[in-house]
Amino acid sequence: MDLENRLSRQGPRRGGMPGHLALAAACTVVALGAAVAESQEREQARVSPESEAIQVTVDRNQVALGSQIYMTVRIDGSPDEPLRLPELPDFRVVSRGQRRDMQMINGRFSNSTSYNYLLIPTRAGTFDVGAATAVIDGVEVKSQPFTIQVAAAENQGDAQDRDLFVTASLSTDQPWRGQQVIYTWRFYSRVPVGQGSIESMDFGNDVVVEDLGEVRQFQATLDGVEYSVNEVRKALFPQRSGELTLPQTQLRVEVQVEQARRPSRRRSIFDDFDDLLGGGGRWATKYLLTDPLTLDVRPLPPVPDGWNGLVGDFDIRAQLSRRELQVGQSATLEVQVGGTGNVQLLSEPGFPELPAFKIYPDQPDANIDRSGRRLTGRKVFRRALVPLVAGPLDIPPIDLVYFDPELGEYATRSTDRIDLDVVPADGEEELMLTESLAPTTGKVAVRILADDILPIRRSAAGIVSASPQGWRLWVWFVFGVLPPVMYLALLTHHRRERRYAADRTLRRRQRALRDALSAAKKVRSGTGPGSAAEASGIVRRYVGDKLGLEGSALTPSEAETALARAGVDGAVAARCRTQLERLEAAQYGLAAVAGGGGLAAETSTEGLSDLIRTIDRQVRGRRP
Amino acid sequence: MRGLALFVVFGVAAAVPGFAQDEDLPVVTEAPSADEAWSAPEPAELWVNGNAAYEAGDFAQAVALYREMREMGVDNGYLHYNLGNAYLRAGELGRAIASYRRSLRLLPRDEDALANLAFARRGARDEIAPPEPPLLLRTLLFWHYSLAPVELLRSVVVVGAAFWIVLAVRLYRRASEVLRWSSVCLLLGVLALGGSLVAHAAFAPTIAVVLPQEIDLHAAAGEGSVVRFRLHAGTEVRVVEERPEWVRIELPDGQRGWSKREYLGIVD
Repeated sequence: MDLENRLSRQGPRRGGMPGHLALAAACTVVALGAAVAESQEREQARVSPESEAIQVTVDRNQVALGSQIYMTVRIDGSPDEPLRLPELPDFRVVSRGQRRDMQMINGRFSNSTSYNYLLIPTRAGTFDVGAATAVIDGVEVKSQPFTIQVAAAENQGDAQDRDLFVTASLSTDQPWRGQQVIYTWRFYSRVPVGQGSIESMDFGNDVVVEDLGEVRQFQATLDGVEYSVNEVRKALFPQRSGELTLPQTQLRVEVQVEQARRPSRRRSIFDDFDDLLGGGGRWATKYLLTDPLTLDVRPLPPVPDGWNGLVGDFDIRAQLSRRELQVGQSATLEVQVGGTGNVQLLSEPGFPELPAFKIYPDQPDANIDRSGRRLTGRKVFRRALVPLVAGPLDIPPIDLVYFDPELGEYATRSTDRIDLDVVPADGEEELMLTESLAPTTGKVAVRILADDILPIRRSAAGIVSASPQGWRLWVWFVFGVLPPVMYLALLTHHRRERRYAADRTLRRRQRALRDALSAAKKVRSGTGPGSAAEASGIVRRYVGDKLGLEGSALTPSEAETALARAGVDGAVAARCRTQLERLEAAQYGLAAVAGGGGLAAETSTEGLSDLIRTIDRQVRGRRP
Repeated sequence: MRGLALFVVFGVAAAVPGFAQDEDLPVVTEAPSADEAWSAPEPAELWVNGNAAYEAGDFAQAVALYREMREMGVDNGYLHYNLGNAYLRAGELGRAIASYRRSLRLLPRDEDALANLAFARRGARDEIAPPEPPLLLRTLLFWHYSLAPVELLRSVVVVGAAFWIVLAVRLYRRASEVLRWSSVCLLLGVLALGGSLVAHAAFAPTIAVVLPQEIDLHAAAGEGSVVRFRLHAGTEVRVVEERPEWVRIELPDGQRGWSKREYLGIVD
């Protein structure tokens, strides 16, 4: 709760390191531990134990209301079951933890467990505290009962005698059902306090509770004594008539019970560290309870028509955004309902029937103020009104019925009648709703009521495989491979054509061998002039095509020279010249020159092919 | 820009028969007779009967018929979608999610499958985000996540053919800037689509969906191994290693564990 932080600022923090004391404590903590424990137990008044195995001790058995008692239950040995405390209906019991002690005396090992409790009496009187029960080694042991006397000596009214106390009060203890009751809880302190928290402020199911603002802090003087006060306010709305008891509110707070240093001692340098680190001193946890409060809730009189649960002081107002408008135009009727009381129940008042209008409701605006001394609120309801007929129209008063707790009766507030003048529209009806929709559009978010999967598919695609299979796969493969293959072919062709275009003799050179061999296959082998002329022409055309010359005009010696220039071996070139000369001689009937019988071989396909291939290899091999 | 690119990709590819997600195919409501021109009458009969069983509320029978289609080699997004619906109605959340994921691998833009998968995922118990690529990656590589592998294949073929044709035309019209830039764009398209295809084929993550209500994930592949954590039906995880009987999975936070293969629905 927020109170925790606020209280912690009022005094030095408990958790601060106490300077040199911390060093000293760290050195002697082990040695002093057992001694401190023993001394604490000696201070406590033992309550006649019935069994040695379980002992219940309290620090005092006569206290004043508002004080608290430290109770320790010590069990020798290890209990088999959880400790069972006696019934303590007149106390609030707060567990303060437990401690285990182990001892080795004369070679005997023993252990004990101590359970610490804080008892806060809730009323004055003499109370019997029954036996605490434990089971040790299968044996049930019980402590001896004892008595605690709680006196009302420290009266709540004697505030000046106490350093800190809490109070709770109600604005009225006889409210009507549903009436707002202000519950005021205050914590008065005049000593340094540390952290504190309200551990219970529960009002039960018969009361609706609304917080009223943050925790307030202020200084107050009671009977001449100045206190620091923390105040918490709540608005309570009893929901049923009859007597309602509000439970006590419990505050847990850290209180400095001993000063950090004795005034008589001289200040040392360590005292400055104490101041810096938050001071020393001894702190104790205090639990403070308020007195129980009772509400005598009065029932409401018989309910009139139109009452919707409002109890308090309310009013109602209405206004129209425009009083003169045309048929089809809109005006906004704004009805404000507000006041003090159970404003959570503010609801739409009964709007009158308005048959001369089209009515478009809008979302209401609500504003509840919890920051003041009382719970107040206001709610605005809007309607877009569109007159359907021309003429003087009016909006009748709108009534608000509520119960006035001051008067003890139901009251009615009404708005004034609103007159407006509606004239015929200039043209066709034009609904102008933008005015009413401007502040809040009136649209509501679509709510998904339920969700489900979408239905199954019935398409024929469900029976065929998605991936191409069989011949379809091959179609795709061919379709994918064919374009690049075709492109490469086209590219090759295109490049060759370009080379031919750039070099006019290239095509002849490249085709020389093929054409010559092709022609040699068709030659008529023989010794006659026809065969010789044909063979001579083939060789000359070849040499001309291969070397880019006009082959048919070459003489044998020109052919030899051209071949030699082209890098052909001299013997081959000479062979070519000799063969051409022999063929020419045979062609012109000079058989003797031609040499007779060898001519048949030179005019044969094989002979021509051999010569042409030999020359071609030489020309190709020597081409740069 | 992305929409325009998708429009171009799909527009080009839609010209190829069988590219689109077959939304315009006829609805099959009756099993065809033997003399009708169905290439595979038996799957058609199973399809119709499975749909009828589903509509009649016999979801186990629908599952059996759809699965029989799968065993016959029929593999398409609609079959997996219907199978997912039948599994979900039959209360098998893990198998339903696995089926929807298989459907989306074949029909990645299918809104019905996406919606039903989202619906099914709400029933998963483990608070583990399904393994999905980051939004930035999905936006930058939109074609990769919007096209099924078979669509990518067709796109590569179509765009590739266009690329070669443009290159061929350029041989005779080298001065054309339009052809030049078209060839560059088409080449990029081929590389992107081809890269996606390769990624789908070689690097696509394998997803596993938990099938039983609860499974143990072991530290090693063996029943006697320490149980590292437990997963529940419908949880989707990434597969990092597969053995004949055991599968090693990885959670989004990097935690890994081994599960028996039969407990997982592998979506690959």
